[in-house]
Amino acid sequence: MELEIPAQAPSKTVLLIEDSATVRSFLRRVFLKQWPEANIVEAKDGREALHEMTRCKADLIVTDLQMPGMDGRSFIAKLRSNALLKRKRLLVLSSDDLQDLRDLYVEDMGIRFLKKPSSPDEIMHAIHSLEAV
Amino acid sequence: MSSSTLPRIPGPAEMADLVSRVIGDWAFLPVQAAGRPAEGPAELGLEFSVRLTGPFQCLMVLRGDYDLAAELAEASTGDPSARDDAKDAFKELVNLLASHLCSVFFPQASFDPFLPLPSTPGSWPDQAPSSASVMMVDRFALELRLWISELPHA
Repeated sequence: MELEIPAQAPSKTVLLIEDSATVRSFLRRVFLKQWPEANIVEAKDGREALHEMTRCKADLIVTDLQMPGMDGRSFIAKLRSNALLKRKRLLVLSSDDLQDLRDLYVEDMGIRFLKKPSSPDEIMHAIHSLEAV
Repeated sequence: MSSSTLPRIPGPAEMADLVSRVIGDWAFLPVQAAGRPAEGPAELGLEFSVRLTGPFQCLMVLRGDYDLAAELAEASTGDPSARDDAKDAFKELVNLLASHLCSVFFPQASFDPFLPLPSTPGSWPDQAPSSASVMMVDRFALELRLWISELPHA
């Protein structure tokens, strides 16, 4: 059986984990402005995100912390305890106090933290610094 | 528990200032402090609350209307079609405000995880709020009330 290869594969897959439709809409616009060809996959909590990760190869994950269902802290712990997924680039975007997570993942170069609300420039700056690692 | 565990309670102007900064950064809308709200709830169709539990309890209630929420949704995303998610935008504002309230007014306190929930004035505590503030966001009224109390004895 021959593999069907899309004429132009999306340049990047971004997984957005956020319970607020408004924030997802905002982030989708920020990323599509930067990468018009990007595949933006959305999940409303950590459990949905883990399910999506079995179907897509996310180059970048952006997650909130406070969510119903599996929250962002539990999702990050699961991600970082999985040998195949622990190097995924991750941007944590939350209105929470992020110091405990900064301390916990101080040696993890694949995570950046941003306090909500953040501007598109601040978000893209954090992502570019992640991509530079 | 002694009353010394209760924090300093922010006044109406301080709360309006916090709301102004959060909405200004998030949705780029102007916020004007308008003092304390009338004793009872105004006729506003949207209400969400957050219960913070830590060294003390804090109930935060935010009230506005759908037109304000639709304005927030559009302004925060830059997308007119986001007005359909008005309620969701209002809930996100409650989430943002609760988090910033904790870090600005109660920086030493650690609270359990919280989520905004829809509420009604019927579920408010019997006593008057510890602090309350009314603001005009663009041309829409927004009411913020806080009830701060000691933890119930086990």
